[in-house]
Amino acid sequence: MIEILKLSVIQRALIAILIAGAFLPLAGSFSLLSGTSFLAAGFAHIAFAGVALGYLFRFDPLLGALVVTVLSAYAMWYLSEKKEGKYEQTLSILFSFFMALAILFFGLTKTYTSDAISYLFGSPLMANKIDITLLLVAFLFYLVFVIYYHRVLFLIVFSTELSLASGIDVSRFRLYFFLFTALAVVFSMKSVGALVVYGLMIIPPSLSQRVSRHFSQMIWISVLVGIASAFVGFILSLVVDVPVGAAVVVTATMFYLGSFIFKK
Amino acid sequence: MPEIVFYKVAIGYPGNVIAEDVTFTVEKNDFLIIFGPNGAGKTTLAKTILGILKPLKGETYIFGCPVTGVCPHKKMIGYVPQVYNIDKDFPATLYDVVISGCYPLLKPLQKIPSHFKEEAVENLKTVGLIDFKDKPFAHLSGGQQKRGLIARALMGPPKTLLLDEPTSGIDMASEIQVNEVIINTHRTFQIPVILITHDINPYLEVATKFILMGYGRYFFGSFEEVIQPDVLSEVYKTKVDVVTKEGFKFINVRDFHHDRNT
Repeated sequence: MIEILKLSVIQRALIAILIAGAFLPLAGSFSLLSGTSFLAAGFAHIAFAGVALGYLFRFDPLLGALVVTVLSAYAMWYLSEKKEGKYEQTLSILFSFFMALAILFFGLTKTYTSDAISYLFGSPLMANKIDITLLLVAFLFYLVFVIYYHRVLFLIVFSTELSLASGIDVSRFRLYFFLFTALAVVFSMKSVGALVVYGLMIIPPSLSQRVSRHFSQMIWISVLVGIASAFVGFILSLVVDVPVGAAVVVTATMFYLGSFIFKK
Repeated sequence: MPEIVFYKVAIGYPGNVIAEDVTFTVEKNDFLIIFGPNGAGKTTLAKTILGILKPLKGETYIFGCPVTGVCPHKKMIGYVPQVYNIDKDFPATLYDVVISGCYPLLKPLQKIPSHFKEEAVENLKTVGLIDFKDKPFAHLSGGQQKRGLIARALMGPPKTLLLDEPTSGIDMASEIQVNEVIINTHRTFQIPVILITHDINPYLEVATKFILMGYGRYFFGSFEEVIQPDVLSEVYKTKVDVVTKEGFKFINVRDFHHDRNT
Protein backbone atom coordinates (compact mmCIF):
# COMPACT_ATOMS: atom_id res chain seq x y z
CA MET A 1 0.00 0.00 0.00
CA ILE A 2 2.80 2.42 1.01
CA GLU A 3 4.55 1.69 -2.28
CA ILE A 4 1.39 2.58 -4.25
CA LEU A 5 1.07 5.88 -2.37
CA LYS A 6 4.58 6.80 -3.49
CA LEU A 7 3.50 6.86 -7.14
CA SER A 8 3.08 10.44 -8.37
CA VAL A 9 -0.17 9.62 -10.20
CA ILE A 10 -1.64 8.26 -6.95
CA GLN A 11 -0.39 11.28 -4.99
CA ARG A 12 -2.00 13.64 -7.54
CA ALA A 13 -5.23 11.68 -7.29
CA LEU A 14 -5.14 11.84 -3.48
CA ILE A 15 -4.54 15.60 -3.51
CA ALA A 16 -7.45 16.09 -5.96
CA ILE A 17 -9.86 14.02 -3.91
CA LEU A 18 -8.82 15.72 -0.65
CA ILE A 19 -9.38 19.22 -2.11
CA ALA A 20 -12.78 18.13 -3.48
CA GLY A 21 -13.49 16.61 -0.06
CA ALA A 22 -12.96 20.04 1.53
CA PHE A 23 -14.51 22.20 -1.22
CA LEU A 24 -17.80 20.37 -1.76
CA PRO A 25 -18.92 20.30 1.92
CA LEU A 26 -17.90 23.95 2.29
CA ALA A 27 -20.25 24.93 -0.57
CA GLY A 28 -22.79 22.33 0.54
CA SER A 29 -23.08 23.78 4.05
CA PHE A 30 -24.64 26.95 2.66
CA SER A 31 -26.84 24.94 0.27
CA LEU A 32 -28.17 22.94 3.17
CA LEU A 33 -28.78 25.90 5.51
CA SER A 34 -30.40 28.05 2.83
CA GLY A 35 -32.71 25.24 1.69
CA THR A 36 -31.12 24.89 -1.75
CA SER A 37 -29.61 21.44 -1.31
CA PHE A 38 -30.85 20.28 -4.74
CA LEU A 39 -28.50 22.84 -6.31
CA ALA A 40 -25.48 20.49 -6.40
CA ALA A 41 -27.45 17.66 -8.03
CA GLY A 42 -28.82 20.10 -10.60
CA PHE A 43 -25.41 21.59 -11.41
CA ALA A 44 -23.79 18.13 -11.64
CA HIS A 45 -26.23 17.06 -14.36
CA ILE A 46 -26.00 20.41 -16.13
CA ALA A 47 -22.18 20.11 -16.10
CA PHE A 48 -22.41 16.69 -17.71
CA ALA A 49 -24.10 18.29 -20.72
CA GLY A 50 -21.04 20.56 -21.00
CA VAL A 51 -18.79 17.48 -20.95
CA ALA A 52 -20.88 15.95 -23.75
CA LEU A 53 -20.64 19.20 -25.71
CA GLY A 54 -16.84 19.08 -25.39
CA TYR A 55 -16.74 15.53 -26.78
CA LEU A 56 -19.07 16.44 -29.64
CA PHE A 57 -17.07 19.46 -30.80
CA ARG A 58 -13.69 18.06 -29.71
CA PHE A 59 -12.63 20.63 -27.15
CA ASP A 60 -11.73 20.18 -23.47
CA PRO A 61 -14.82 18.63 -21.78
CA LEU A 62 -13.95 20.45 -18.54
CA LEU A 63 -14.14 23.78 -20.38
CA GLY A 64 -17.53 22.77 -21.78
CA ALA A 65 -18.75 21.84 -18.30
CA LEU A 66 -17.41 25.12 -16.90
CA VAL A 67 -19.08 27.36 -19.51
CA VAL A 68 -22.43 25.54 -19.46
CA THR A 69 -22.65 25.32 -15.64
CA VAL A 70 -21.55 28.90 -14.92
CA LEU A 71 -23.98 30.26 -17.53
CA SER A 72 -26.75 28.11 -16.06
CA ALA A 73 -25.93 29.35 -12.55
CA TYR A 74 -26.20 32.93 -13.79
CA ALA A 75 -29.42 32.18 -15.72
CA MET A 76 -30.94 30.59 -12.63
CA TRP A 77 -30.04 33.58 -10.49
CA TYR A 78 -31.33 36.03 -13.12
CA LEU A 79 -34.64 34.24 -13.65
CA SER A 80 -35.32 33.74 -9.94
CA GLU A 81 -34.13 37.14 -8.72
CA LYS A 82 -34.94 39.50 -11.59
CA LYS A 83 -37.88 37.80 -13.28
CA GLU A 84 -39.59 36.49 -10.15
CA GLY A 85 -39.22 32.89 -11.29
CA LYS A 86 -39.27 30.16 -8.70
CA TYR A 87 -35.80 28.89 -7.90
CA GLU A 88 -36.70 25.19 -7.68
CA GLN A 89 -38.76 25.27 -10.87
CA THR A 90 -36.01 27.09 -12.77
CA LEU A 91 -33.37 24.62 -11.57
CA SER A 92 -35.59 21.64 -12.39
CA ILE A 93 -36.21 22.94 -15.92
CA LEU A 94 -32.49 23.62 -16.52
CA PHE A 95 -31.63 20.22 -15.02
CA SER A 96 -34.02 18.35 -17.37
CA PHE A 97 -33.06 20.45 -20.40
CA PHE A 98 -29.32 19.91 -19.97
CA MET A 99 -29.68 16.21 -19.19
CA ALA A 100 -31.62 15.89 -22.45
CA LEU A 101 -28.86 17.83 -24.23
CA ALA A 102 -26.20 15.55 -22.71
CA ILE A 103 -27.98 12.46 -24.09
CA LEU A 104 -28.46 14.22 -27.43
CA PHE A 105 -24.79 15.24 -27.68
CA PHE A 106 -23.51 11.79 -26.75
CA GLY A 107 -25.93 10.34 -29.29
CA LEU A 108 -24.47 12.58 -31.97
CA THR A 109 -20.85 11.73 -31.09
CA LYS A 110 -21.69 8.01 -31.64
CA THR A 111 -19.11 7.11 -29.00
CA TYR A 112 -19.24 6.95 -25.25
CA THR A 113 -15.61 6.85 -24.24
CA SER A 114 -14.25 5.66 -20.91
CA ASP A 115 -12.93 9.19 -20.46
CA ALA A 116 -16.51 10.51 -20.53
CA ILE A 117 -17.54 7.90 -18.00
CA SER A 118 -14.76 9.16 -15.70
CA TYR A 119 -16.72 12.43 -15.39
CA LEU A 120 -19.81 10.49 -14.40
CA PHE A 121 -18.28 8.10 -11.86
CA GLY A 122 -15.09 9.99 -11.02
CA SER A 123 -11.52 9.03 -11.77
CA PRO A 124 -8.97 11.05 -9.78
CA LEU A 125 -6.18 9.09 -11.49
CA MET A 126 -7.04 11.03 -14.67
CA ALA A 127 -6.78 14.39 -12.93
CA ASN A 128 -3.80 16.29 -14.34
CA LYS A 129 -1.88 19.19 -12.81
CA ILE A 130 -4.13 21.78 -14.49
CA ASP A 131 -7.27 20.10 -13.12
CA ILE A 132 -5.80 20.10 -9.61
CA THR A 133 -4.60 23.70 -9.87
CA LEU A 134 -8.04 24.91 -11.01
CA LEU A 135 -9.71 22.96 -8.20
CA LEU A 136 -7.28 24.36 -5.62
CA VAL A 137 -7.58 27.98 -6.81
CA ALA A 138 -11.42 27.86 -6.84
CA PHE A 139 -11.39 26.28 -3.36
CA LEU A 140 -9.02 28.90 -1.94
CA PHE A 141 -11.13 31.73 -3.42
CA TYR A 142 -14.25 30.30 -1.81
CA LEU A 143 -12.44 29.73 1.48
CA VAL A 144 -11.31 33.36 1.62
CA PHE A 145 -14.83 34.48 0.63
CA VAL A 146 -16.40 32.41 3.45
CA ILE A 147 -13.89 33.63 6.06
CA TYR A 148 -14.22 37.28 4.99
CA TYR A 149 -18.02 37.29 4.84
CA HIS A 150 -18.85 34.67 7.49
CA ARG A 151 -21.05 37.07 9.48
CA VAL A 152 -22.98 38.19 6.40
CA LEU A 153 -23.41 34.54 5.36
CA PHE A 154 -24.71 33.69 8.83
CA LEU A 155 -27.33 36.45 8.62
CA ILE A 156 -28.41 35.37 5.11
CA VAL A 157 -28.93 31.72 6.06
CA PHE A 158 -30.52 32.70 9.39
CA SER A 159 -33.11 35.06 7.90
CA THR A 160 -33.31 36.69 4.49
CA GLU A 161 -35.71 39.30 5.84
CA LEU A 162 -33.41 40.31 8.71
CA SER A 163 -30.49 40.47 6.25
CA LEU A 164 -32.41 42.76 3.91
CA ALA A 165 -33.45 44.93 6.86
CA SER A 166 -29.75 45.20 7.80
CA GLY A 167 -28.95 46.57 4.34
CA ILE A 168 -27.26 43.38 3.03
CA ASP A 169 -27.47 42.89 -0.74
CA VAL A 170 -28.82 39.34 -0.42
CA SER A 171 -29.35 38.98 -4.18
CA ARG A 172 -25.66 39.69 -4.91
CA PHE A 173 -24.52 37.13 -2.33
CA ARG A 174 -26.92 34.59 -3.81
CA LEU A 175 -25.25 35.07 -7.21
CA TYR A 176 -21.79 34.55 -5.66
CA PHE A 177 -23.07 31.44 -3.92
CA PHE A 178 -24.55 29.97 -7.13
CA LEU A 179 -21.33 30.66 -9.05
CA PHE A 180 -19.05 29.17 -6.39
CA THR A 181 -21.28 26.10 -6.14
CA ALA A 182 -21.08 25.72 -9.93
CA LEU A 183 -17.27 25.93 -9.75
CA ALA A 184 -17.13 23.41 -6.88
CA VAL A 185 -19.22 20.95 -8.90
CA VAL A 186 -17.36 21.38 -12.22
CA PHE A 187 -13.83 21.19 -10.85
CA SER A 188 -14.64 18.23 -8.55
CA MET A 189 -16.38 16.20 -11.27
CA LYS A 190 -13.28 14.53 -12.62
CA SER A 191 -12.04 13.31 -9.23
CA VAL A 192 -15.34 12.50 -7.52
CA GLY A 193 -17.75 12.04 -10.45
CA ALA A 194 -20.91 13.92 -11.39
CA LEU A 195 -23.18 11.30 -9.85
CA VAL A 196 -21.66 11.51 -6.38
CA VAL A 197 -20.70 15.21 -6.17
CA TYR A 198 -24.12 15.75 -4.58
CA GLY A 199 -23.40 13.23 -1.83
CA LEU A 200 -20.15 14.86 -0.78
CA MET A 201 -21.84 18.24 -0.86
CA ILE A 202 -24.73 17.27 1.39
CA ILE A 203 -23.73 14.32 3.63
CA PRO A 204 -20.82 15.93 5.57
CA PRO A 205 -22.80 19.18 6.24
CA SER A 206 -25.82 17.08 7.32
CA LEU A 207 -23.64 15.22 9.81
CA SER A 208 -22.06 18.45 10.96
CA GLN A 209 -25.42 20.18 11.41
CA ARG A 210 -26.53 17.34 13.69
CA VAL A 211 -23.58 17.71 16.06
CA SER A 212 -22.77 21.45 15.87
CA ARG A 213 -24.04 24.14 18.22
CA HIS A 214 -22.63 27.07 16.24
CA PHE A 215 -22.62 28.14 12.59
CA SER A 216 -18.82 28.35 12.21
CA GLN A 217 -18.45 25.02 14.01
CA MET A 218 -20.79 23.44 11.47
CA ILE A 219 -18.79 24.78 8.52
CA TRP A 220 -15.42 23.52 9.76
CA ILE A 221 -16.68 20.13 11.00
CA SER A 222 -18.32 19.53 7.61
CA VAL A 223 -15.01 20.33 5.86
CA LEU A 224 -13.11 17.96 8.19
CA VAL A 225 -15.68 15.20 7.67
CA GLY A 226 -15.44 15.76 3.90
CA ILE A 227 -11.65 15.45 3.98
CA ALA A 228 -11.82 12.35 6.21
CA SER A 229 -14.44 10.74 3.94
CA ALA A 230 -12.31 11.53 0.88
CA PHE A 231 -9.17 10.05 2.46
CA VAL A 232 -10.80 6.88 3.83
CA GLY A 233 -12.82 6.41 0.62
CA PHE A 234 -9.71 6.83 -1.53
CA ILE A 235 -7.74 4.25 0.48
CA LEU A 236 -10.73 1.87 0.36
CA SER A 237 -10.97 2.27 -3.40
CA LEU A 238 -7.31 1.29 -3.72
CA VAL A 239 -7.66 -1.69 -1.38
CA VAL A 240 -10.86 -3.19 -2.80
CA ASP A 241 -10.56 -1.74 -6.32
CA VAL A 242 -13.89 0.10 -6.59
CA PRO A 243 -14.68 3.55 -8.10
CA VAL A 244 -13.33 6.20 -5.76
CA GLY A 245 -16.37 8.51 -5.87
CA ALA A 246 -18.66 5.71 -4.74
CA ALA A 247 -16.22 4.68 -1.97
CA VAL A 248 -16.03 8.29 -0.72
CA VAL A 249 -19.81 8.72 -0.57
CA VAL A 250 -20.34 5.33 1.09
CA THR A 251 -17.72 6.32 3.70
CA ALA A 252 -19.39 9.72 4.26
CA THR A 253 -22.74 7.96 4.69
CA MET A 254 -21.24 5.59 7.29
CA PHE A 255 -19.86 8.62 9.18
CA TYR A 256 -23.32 10.25 9.01
CA LEU A 257 -25.04 7.15 10.41
CA GLY A 258 -22.36 6.95 13.10
CA SER A 259 -23.18 10.54 14.14
CA PHE A 260 -26.53 9.37 15.51
CA ILE A 261 -24.72 8.04 18.58
CA PHE A 262 -23.68 11.64 19.37
CA LYS A 263 -26.02 14.31 20.72
CA LYS A 264 -25.64 18.08 20.52
CA MET B 1 -36.51 66.88 13.36
CA PRO B 2 -38.65 63.69 13.46
CA GLU B 3 -36.78 60.37 13.38
CA ILE B 4 -38.96 58.99 10.56
CA VAL B 5 -40.91 61.01 7.98
CA PHE B 6 -43.27 59.60 5.35
CA TYR B 7 -44.89 62.24 3.13
CA LYS B 8 -47.58 61.33 0.58
CA VAL B 9 -46.04 57.91 0.02
CA ALA B 10 -47.59 55.17 -2.10
CA ILE B 11 -46.63 51.69 -0.88
CA GLY B 12 -46.92 48.33 -2.61
CA TYR B 13 -45.32 46.52 -5.51
CA PRO B 14 -44.94 47.71 -9.13
CA GLY B 15 -48.42 47.48 -10.63
CA ASN B 16 -50.04 46.85 -7.24
CA VAL B 17 -50.52 49.94 -5.08
CA ILE B 18 -51.59 48.87 -1.58
CA ALA B 19 -51.98 52.29 0.08
CA GLU B 20 -51.60 55.85 -1.15
CA ASP B 21 -50.96 59.18 0.54
CA VAL B 22 -49.32 57.50 3.53
CA THR B 23 -48.15 60.42 5.65
CA PHE B 24 -46.83 60.16 9.19
CA THR B 25 -43.93 61.09 11.44
CA VAL B 26 -42.25 59.27 14.29
CA GLU B 27 -40.63 61.46 16.91
CA LYS B 28 -38.20 60.48 19.65
CA ASN B 29 -40.07 58.55 22.39
CA ASP B 30 -43.10 57.93 20.17
CA PHE B 31 -44.87 54.58 20.39
CA LEU B 32 -46.61 54.12 17.05
CA ILE B 33 -49.11 51.32 16.58
CA ILE B 34 -49.94 50.19 13.05
CA PHE B 35 -53.08 48.09 12.90
CA GLY B 36 -55.83 47.02 10.54
CA PRO B 37 -57.37 43.92 8.98
CA ASN B 38 -55.31 41.14 7.37
CA GLY B 39 -53.95 42.11 3.96
CA ALA B 40 -54.37 45.83 4.57
CA GLY B 41 -50.67 46.52 3.90
CA LYS B 42 -49.17 46.72 7.40
CA THR B 43 -46.17 44.50 6.63
CA THR B 44 -45.73 46.25 3.28
CA LEU B 45 -45.51 49.54 5.18
CA ALA B 46 -42.96 47.99 7.60
CA LYS B 47 -40.84 46.77 4.68
CA THR B 48 -40.99 50.24 3.13
CA ILE B 49 -39.83 51.82 6.39
CA LEU B 50 -36.93 49.33 6.48
CA GLY B 51 -35.98 50.09 2.87
CA ILE B 52 -36.64 46.47 1.77
CA LEU B 53 -39.37 47.81 -0.56
CA LYS B 54 -39.03 51.02 -2.51
CA PRO B 55 -41.84 53.53 -2.12
CA LEU B 56 -43.82 53.79 -5.37
CA LYS B 57 -43.99 57.56 -4.92
CA GLY B 58 -43.63 60.20 -2.24
CA GLU B 59 -40.83 61.14 0.13
CA THR B 60 -39.43 58.93 2.90
CA TYR B 61 -36.73 59.84 5.40
CA ILE B 62 -35.15 57.98 8.30
CA PHE B 63 -33.07 60.17 10.59
CA GLY B 64 -33.05 62.77 7.82
CA CYS B 65 -31.77 60.35 5.18
CA PRO B 66 -33.84 59.00 2.22
CA VAL B 67 -34.84 55.41 3.06
CA THR B 68 -33.86 53.93 -0.31
CA GLY B 69 -30.51 55.69 -0.53
CA VAL B 70 -27.22 54.49 0.94
CA CYS B 71 -27.95 55.40 4.51
CA PRO B 72 -25.87 54.21 7.47
CA HIS B 73 -28.83 54.90 9.73
CA LYS B 74 -30.75 52.08 8.08
CA LYS B 75 -28.73 49.73 10.26
CA MET B 76 -30.05 51.58 13.29
CA ILE B 77 -33.57 50.18 13.08
CA GLY B 78 -33.93 47.10 15.27
CA TYR B 79 -36.34 44.82 13.45
CA VAL B 80 -38.35 41.83 14.64
CA PRO B 81 -40.00 40.06 11.67
CA GLN B 82 -43.54 38.70 11.66
CA VAL B 83 -42.99 35.10 10.63
CA TYR B 84 -39.99 33.19 11.72
CA ASN B 85 -39.61 29.51 10.84
CA ILE B 86 -36.28 27.97 11.69
CA ASP B 87 -34.92 24.51 10.96
CA LYS B 88 -34.87 22.56 14.26
CA ASP B 89 -31.18 21.76 13.65
CA PHE B 90 -30.08 25.31 12.76
CA PRO B 91 -26.61 25.62 14.32
CA ALA B 92 -26.92 28.69 16.54
CA THR B 93 -27.44 29.26 20.23
CA LEU B 94 -29.68 32.02 21.57
CA TYR B 95 -26.54 34.06 22.32
CA ASP B 96 -25.30 33.58 18.71
CA VAL B 97 -28.60 35.00 17.43
CA VAL B 98 -28.61 37.94 19.83
CA ILE B 99 -24.98 38.92 19.18
CA SER B 100 -25.66 38.76 15.40
CA GLY B 101 -27.64 41.98 15.91
CA CYS B 102 -24.32 43.84 15.97
CA TYR B 103 -22.94 42.20 12.80
CA PRO B 104 -24.22 44.93 10.45
CA LEU B 105 -22.28 47.44 12.55
CA LEU B 106 -18.94 45.58 12.22
CA LYS B 107 -16.35 45.47 9.45
CA PRO B 108 -15.94 41.99 7.85
CA LEU B 109 -12.97 40.66 9.87
CA GLN B 110 -13.32 42.94 12.90
CA LYS B 111 -13.25 41.16 16.25
CA ILE B 112 -16.52 41.57 18.16
CA PRO B 113 -15.84 44.38 20.69
CA SER B 114 -16.36 43.38 24.33
CA HIS B 115 -19.03 46.08 24.81
CA PHE B 116 -21.26 44.29 22.28
CA LYS B 117 -20.77 40.99 24.12
CA GLU B 118 -21.76 42.67 27.39
CA GLU B 119 -24.72 44.31 25.65
CA ALA B 120 -25.93 40.92 24.34
CA VAL B 121 -25.90 39.54 27.89
CA GLU B 122 -27.72 42.64 29.22
CA ASN B 123 -30.36 42.37 26.49
CA LEU B 124 -30.92 38.72 27.37
CA LYS B 125 -31.48 39.81 30.97
CA THR B 126 -33.91 42.50 29.76
CA VAL B 127 -36.06 39.97 27.92
CA GLY B 128 -35.78 37.43 30.76
CA LEU B 129 -33.87 34.78 28.83
CA ILE B 130 -30.40 34.89 30.37
CA ASP B 131 -30.79 31.30 31.65
CA PHE B 132 -31.32 30.12 28.06
CA LYS B 133 -28.23 31.87 26.68
CA ASP B 134 -26.46 28.70 25.52
CA LYS B 135 -29.54 26.77 24.38
CA PRO B 136 -29.97 26.10 20.65
CA PHE B 137 -32.20 28.90 19.34
CA ALA B 138 -34.30 26.44 17.33
CA HIS B 139 -35.17 24.49 20.50
CA LEU B 140 -36.78 27.49 22.23
CA SER B 141 -40.57 27.98 22.30
CA GLY B 142 -42.20 30.45 19.89
CA GLY B 143 -42.53 33.08 22.63
CA GLN B 144 -38.91 32.64 23.71
CA GLN B 145 -37.73 32.94 20.11
CA LYS B 146 -39.71 36.20 19.73
CA ARG B 147 -38.16 37.57 22.95
CA GLY B 148 -34.75 36.43 21.68
CA LEU B 149 -35.32 38.32 18.43
CA ILE B 150 -36.30 41.42 20.44
CA ALA B 151 -33.01 41.10 22.39
CA ARG B 152 -31.26 40.83 19.01
CA ALA B 153 -33.07 43.87 17.65
CA LEU B 154 -31.91 45.89 20.69
CA MET B 155 -28.22 45.41 19.82
CA GLY B 156 -26.41 48.59 18.96
CA PRO B 157 -28.61 49.89 20.57
CA PRO B 158 -30.93 50.86 17.69
CA LYS B 159 -32.43 54.32 17.26
CA THR B 160 -35.84 52.81 16.55
CA LEU B 161 -37.44 49.44 17.19
CA LEU B 162 -39.83 48.00 14.59
CA LEU B 163 -41.82 44.89 15.50
CA ASP B 164 -44.14 43.12 13.07
CA GLU B 165 -46.83 41.18 14.96
CA PRO B 166 -44.45 39.95 17.66
CA THR B 167 -47.21 38.05 19.49
CA SER B 168 -48.59 36.15 16.51
CA GLY B 169 -48.53 32.38 16.83
CA ILE B 170 -47.61 32.24 20.53
CA ASP B 171 -49.66 31.21 23.57
CA MET B 172 -51.38 33.61 25.97
CA ALA B 173 -48.75 33.43 28.73
CA SER B 174 -45.93 34.10 26.25
CA GLU B 175 -47.98 36.93 24.72
CA ILE B 176 -48.19 38.68 28.09
CA GLN B 177 -44.41 38.30 28.57
CA VAL B 178 -43.65 39.65 25.08
CA ASN B 179 -46.02 42.62 25.62
CA GLU B 180 -44.26 43.45 28.90
CA VAL B 181 -40.84 43.21 27.25
CA ILE B 182 -41.89 45.61 24.47
CA ILE B 183 -43.34 48.19 26.87
CA ASN B 184 -40.37 47.91 29.28
CA THR B 185 -37.93 48.22 26.38
CA HIS B 186 -39.61 51.41 25.19
CA ARG B 187 -39.41 52.88 28.68
CA THR B 188 -35.88 51.67 29.50
CA PHE B 189 -34.18 52.45 26.20
CA GLN B 190 -36.29 55.58 25.53
CA ILE B 191 -36.39 54.87 21.80
CA PRO B 192 -39.35 55.12 19.45
CA VAL B 193 -41.21 51.87 18.90
CA ILE B 194 -43.20 51.04 15.77
CA LEU B 195 -45.45 48.10 16.48
CA ILE B 196 -47.65 46.22 14.03
CA THR B 197 -50.31 44.31 15.91
CA HIS B 198 -53.87 43.04 15.74
CA ASP B 199 -54.39 43.47 19.49
CA ILE B 200 -53.78 47.11 20.39
CA ASN B 201 -55.33 46.96 23.88
CA PRO B 202 -52.17 45.95 25.82
CA TYR B 203 -50.38 49.02 24.41
CA LEU B 204 -53.02 51.74 24.72
CA GLU B 205 -51.38 52.97 27.93
CA VAL B 206 -48.07 53.75 26.19
CA ALA B 207 -49.08 54.33 22.55
CA THR B 208 -48.74 57.93 21.36
CA LYS B 209 -49.69 57.55 17.69
CA PHE B 210 -51.79 55.19 15.60
CA ILE B 211 -51.97 54.20 11.96
CA LEU B 212 -55.12 52.37 10.89
CA MET B 213 -54.91 50.74 7.47
CA GLY B 214 -57.89 49.22 5.75
CA TYR B 215 -58.06 48.35 2.06
CA GLY B 216 -57.28 51.73 0.58
CA ARG B 217 -58.33 53.62 3.73
CA TYR B 218 -55.55 55.18 5.81
CA PHE B 219 -55.82 57.05 9.11
CA PHE B 220 -52.98 58.52 11.16
CA GLY B 221 -53.09 60.45 14.41
CA SER B 222 -53.56 60.31 18.15
CA PHE B 223 -55.92 57.97 20.02
CA GLU B 224 -58.79 60.45 19.79
CA GLU B 225 -58.21 61.03 16.07
CA VAL B 226 -57.98 57.37 14.99
CA ILE B 227 -59.72 55.21 17.57
CA GLN B 228 -63.27 56.12 16.57
CA PRO B 229 -65.93 53.37 16.83
CA ASP B 230 -67.56 54.32 13.52
CA VAL B 231 -64.22 54.36 11.66
CA LEU B 232 -63.11 51.06 13.20
CA SER B 233 -66.49 49.44 12.51
CA GLU B 234 -66.29 50.55 8.88
CA VAL B 235 -62.73 49.30 8.36
CA TYR B 236 -63.22 45.97 10.18
CA LYS B 237 -66.77 45.52 8.81
CA THR B 238 -68.05 44.54 12.25
CA LYS B 239 -69.30 46.37 15.35
CA VAL B 240 -66.37 47.85 17.26
CA ASP B 241 -66.78 49.75 20.55
CA VAL B 242 -64.34 51.84 22.52
CA VAL B 243 -64.96 51.02 26.18
CA THR B 244 -63.73 52.83 29.29
CA LYS B 245 -63.34 50.65 32.37
CA GLU B 246 -61.63 51.65 35.63
CA GLY B 247 -60.11 54.65 33.90
CA PHE B 248 -58.61 52.61 31.04
CA LYS B 249 -59.84 52.66 27.47
CA PHE B 250 -59.86 49.58 25.33
CA ILE B 251 -61.35 48.34 22.11
CA ASN B 252 -64.10 45.79 22.18
CA VAL B 253 -64.89 43.94 18.98
CA ARG B 254 -68.46 42.74 19.33
CA ASP B 255 -70.19 40.44 16.93
CA PHE B 256 -73.82 40.48 18.05
CA HIS B 257 -74.45 37.07 16.53
CA HIS B 258 -71.83 35.48 18.75
CA ASP B 259 -72.05 37.60 21.88
CA ARG B 260 -72.96 35.39 24.87
CA ASN B 261 -74.31 38.37 26.86
CA THR B 262 -77.03 39.29 24.40
